[in-house]
Amino acid sequence: MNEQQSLLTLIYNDNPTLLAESGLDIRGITIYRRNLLANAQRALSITFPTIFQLLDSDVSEDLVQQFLALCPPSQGDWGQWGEEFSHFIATSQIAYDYPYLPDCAMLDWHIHHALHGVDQLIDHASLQRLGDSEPEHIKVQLNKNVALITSKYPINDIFYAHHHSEDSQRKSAMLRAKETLTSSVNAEQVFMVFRPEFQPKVITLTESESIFVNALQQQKSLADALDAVSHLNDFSFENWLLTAIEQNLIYQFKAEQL
Amino acid sequence: MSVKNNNILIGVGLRHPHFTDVLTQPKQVDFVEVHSENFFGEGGAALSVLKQTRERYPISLHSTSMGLGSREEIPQDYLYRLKKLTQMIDPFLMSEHACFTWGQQQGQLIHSGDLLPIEHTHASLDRMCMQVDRVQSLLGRELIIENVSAYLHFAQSHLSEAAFLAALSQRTGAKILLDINNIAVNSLNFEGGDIAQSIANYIKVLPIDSVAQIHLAGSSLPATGEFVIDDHACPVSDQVWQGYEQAIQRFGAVPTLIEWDNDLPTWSILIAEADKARALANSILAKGERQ
Repeated sequence: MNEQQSLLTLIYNDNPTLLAESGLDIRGITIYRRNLLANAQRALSITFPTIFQLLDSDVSEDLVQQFLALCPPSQGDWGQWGEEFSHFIATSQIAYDYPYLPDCAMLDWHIHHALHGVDQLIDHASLQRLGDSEPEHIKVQLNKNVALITSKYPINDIFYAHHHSEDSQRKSAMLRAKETLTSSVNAEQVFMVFRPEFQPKVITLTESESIFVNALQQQKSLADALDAVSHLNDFSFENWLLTAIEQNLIYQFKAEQL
Repeated sequence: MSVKNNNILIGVGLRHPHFTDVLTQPKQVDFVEVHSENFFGEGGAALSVLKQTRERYPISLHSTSMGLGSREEIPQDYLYRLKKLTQMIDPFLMSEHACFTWGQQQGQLIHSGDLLPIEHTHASLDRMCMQVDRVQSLLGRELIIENVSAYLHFAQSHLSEAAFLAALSQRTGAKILLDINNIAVNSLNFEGGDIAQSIANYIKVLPIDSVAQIHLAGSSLPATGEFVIDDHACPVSDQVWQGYEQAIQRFGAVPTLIEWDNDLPTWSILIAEADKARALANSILAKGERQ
């Protein structure tokens, strides 16, 4: 093992034999271990702000330590680290006590991605496809910052209870979250992350909206997406389109010969 | 973008809490420096702020993860992101550290998350020259390589860090970023703590035209018997200011940056540190003395 490999291994792992063989000073290694943990903790607390507000600092430090060992960073940009964090939480002891944490982490991850995602605005010219092509030939390319998450927990309320800019809204969201968490029936819901301008938002979708957006995400034609919600009476494409343009959900309409 | 270097250029490190200040306050520094990796995203508010800042200030891109001294090759994805940012921002300075960051664990490439020290040997110099050549060629730009605070040393090292950097500069055309606080931290931790002497010993090894930037920062005082950590969490110390005088005497009007990363002060306090650097440098430069 070369000197760089030895040092990196000793920072990530406690290995007394390797330490003795390397001749490296444990005081220095201890500093690098502390720095790594502090950097990792800071990075995850930025990417997963809800999780780190929900957990006590000693619990979160422990989680970060375990996550570092299991999924060390590999990209040189702490902002890209943490894709597996939600799954990691789901398999850790803390999820038994707080089963909604993995889904909260998933929401944090998508919001973090949307926050740094590509700046996309609707291609207005492409709206013309709606007039000059048949729905079966039209595909809707959603904005890259749109993501759907399914959860039986009130993850949007938990998120806003911690991050809404207005105190009254935070309190209301907290009340709703507590009410839902204590209710005996928790049906699955679909949440949508999107970015109207720079600040991502999350909302709960109705069943028809979620089926429709999911179909578009799967690159089904507009006709097929509309067919998927035809049995539900509450869906209006015209209303959805107006809201979608307002919320910056659509990037482009494309006409294709299928 | 080129910047005339008739007068000394003084800048500050730009961090998130100062984004509004940098765009709204009167221009009081000559440039700002950001950590490249903080802007590796494809879009969003932070990148938008950086682009707006670029309209007001020359920008120095300071990378912290490239690991030019790594035995592993720097991943393509990292370099792709850096190149994209470089093309977007057109920085007037572009710097990294003389350290390693990449390694393998169980067959997987991992990142150290920190600036890890390298051996200062001819073999590691050869390796780092290759990495620097590769990156400079890819970016089409000259890099500036910074000396680091190290908390351990490799027994195999037979060159001083200063001699290592001087040779690296001579062989690759890269310049040197002289971090005076890093020399001070290493002096306190490993060289008995005569900071003035450590700085004098260091800078006399560096060719006069090799230093293209200076970093000034402060470090918190540790508990007795513990290592000093280069935490950039307080004002520049008197000893580092004295070292800065020595550096300006030797290297002349080199662009200088105040780095402050933790326990951030207000923008006005940061600017006051920059003003202090400018006044000190100008007083030395006015005397026209070079060592």
